[in-house]
Amino acid sequence: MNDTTAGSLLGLADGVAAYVREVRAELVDLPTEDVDDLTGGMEADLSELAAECGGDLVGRLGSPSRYAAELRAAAGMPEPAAGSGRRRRPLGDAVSHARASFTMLTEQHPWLRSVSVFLVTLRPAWWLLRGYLAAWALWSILSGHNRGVRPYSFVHVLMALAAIVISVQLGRGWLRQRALLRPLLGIANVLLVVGALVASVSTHVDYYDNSSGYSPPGVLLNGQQVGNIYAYDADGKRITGVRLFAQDGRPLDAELSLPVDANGNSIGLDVNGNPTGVVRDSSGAPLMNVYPRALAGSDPWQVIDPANPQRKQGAWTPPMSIVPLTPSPTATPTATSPAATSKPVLPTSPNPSSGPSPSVTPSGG
Amino acid sequence: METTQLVKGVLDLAVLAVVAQEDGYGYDVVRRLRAAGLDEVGDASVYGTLRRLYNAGALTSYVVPSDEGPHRKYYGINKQGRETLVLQGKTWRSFASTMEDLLTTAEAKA
Repeated sequence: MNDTTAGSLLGLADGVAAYVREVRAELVDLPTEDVDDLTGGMEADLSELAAECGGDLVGRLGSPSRYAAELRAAAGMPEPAAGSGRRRRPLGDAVSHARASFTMLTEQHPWLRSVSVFLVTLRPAWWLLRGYLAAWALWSILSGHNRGVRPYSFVHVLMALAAIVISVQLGRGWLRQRALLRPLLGIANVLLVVGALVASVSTHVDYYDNSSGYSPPGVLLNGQQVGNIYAYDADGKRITGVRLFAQDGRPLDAELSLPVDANGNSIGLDVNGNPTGVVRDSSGAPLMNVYPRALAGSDPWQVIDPANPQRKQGAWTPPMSIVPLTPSPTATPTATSPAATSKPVLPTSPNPSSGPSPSVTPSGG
Repeated sequence: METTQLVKGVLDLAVLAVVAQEDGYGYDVVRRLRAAGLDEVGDASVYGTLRRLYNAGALTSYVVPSDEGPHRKYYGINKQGRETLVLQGKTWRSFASTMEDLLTTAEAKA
């Protein structure tokens, strides 16, 4: 024997042990001493055989049930009585076949063996996870919907602990003596994993739906940011220095979006990087709810600096006046200040009650 | 003719003959039978035969511990086994010579 990795030898031993187990299971109707007699030393012999034939015990010896039948006949032991002992187990045969094939595969690819040894050491972690998943499945089923994998009550924590204890005990071999229940455990494992995958996908979709409600800051029009507001009075004339508030008193502060020049630099910033066109109160704090806002230069009605060639074709220019409301209101539009080019200085308080009352009240409907 | 069927009939004798040369464990006996030319012999049949001969009192058995891996179960022949070997050997030789004569006569006429 050369220095084939210890891993592949371990793999062979596993395959041999599984084969011997299957053969013994086929002989359960015989007295235990007879079974021990027949299979004593078998492991050592089969290990030698497996090392010779590359671990393909099933290919070399036939299925464990065939082997057991031959052994029984040659040893002069009675055939299994009908209805007693082991019946045909196509699933069990398939499992032992798959095991043998895997052992053979690890012979050809030793890294597979390393991976499988690594995974086996992770078994206890799987037991913990399985217990938790079972508890989560249970409380999701009981509550009728999936609220994510975190427990949301003390009872759930208790359920999770209990399920983990049961899962670990199962892993430590609770069912080893109850061969009939082991396939059920396998099915439960598969269901849990598939269920967890499906549920995690659906939870992800829920999160996605929630996050699609992202909204940009500032004042929005149909979900898009508003950069400036141009107000006209009932006569259709421009109003400068309008302060806008929401129904709860919050100022309608639009996000400041400065135009950029050909080089991509923002226009309308002073040497300190502060926007020049923003109206400030007496203490110097910017008032972001004063409209129209002068974005470049000092004229708030000038949409863009004429020196700036970046002005988009077809951009809207606020007209000097628009069509007046009908019926024509009698109020005098005092707010249309002719001194539109001077910076209006406004009171500090953003409270609408103390702010300048709009001098124009649209009287019409 | 199925050699397998023939082997079945003489397997006890063959196993006794192999173990009489030297003690051996199950797979060792299988290998020596095959080396002798009995390719058709089945592993499980040899194991079962060894066990049956042991139960019949024709073989002794002992376990050789191994430091690495499972223990080996060796079989050796005893007095009763040797007597059985001699007796069955005579039966086989007489049977074989009967068959030989039969075939020689038939082939001479053909």
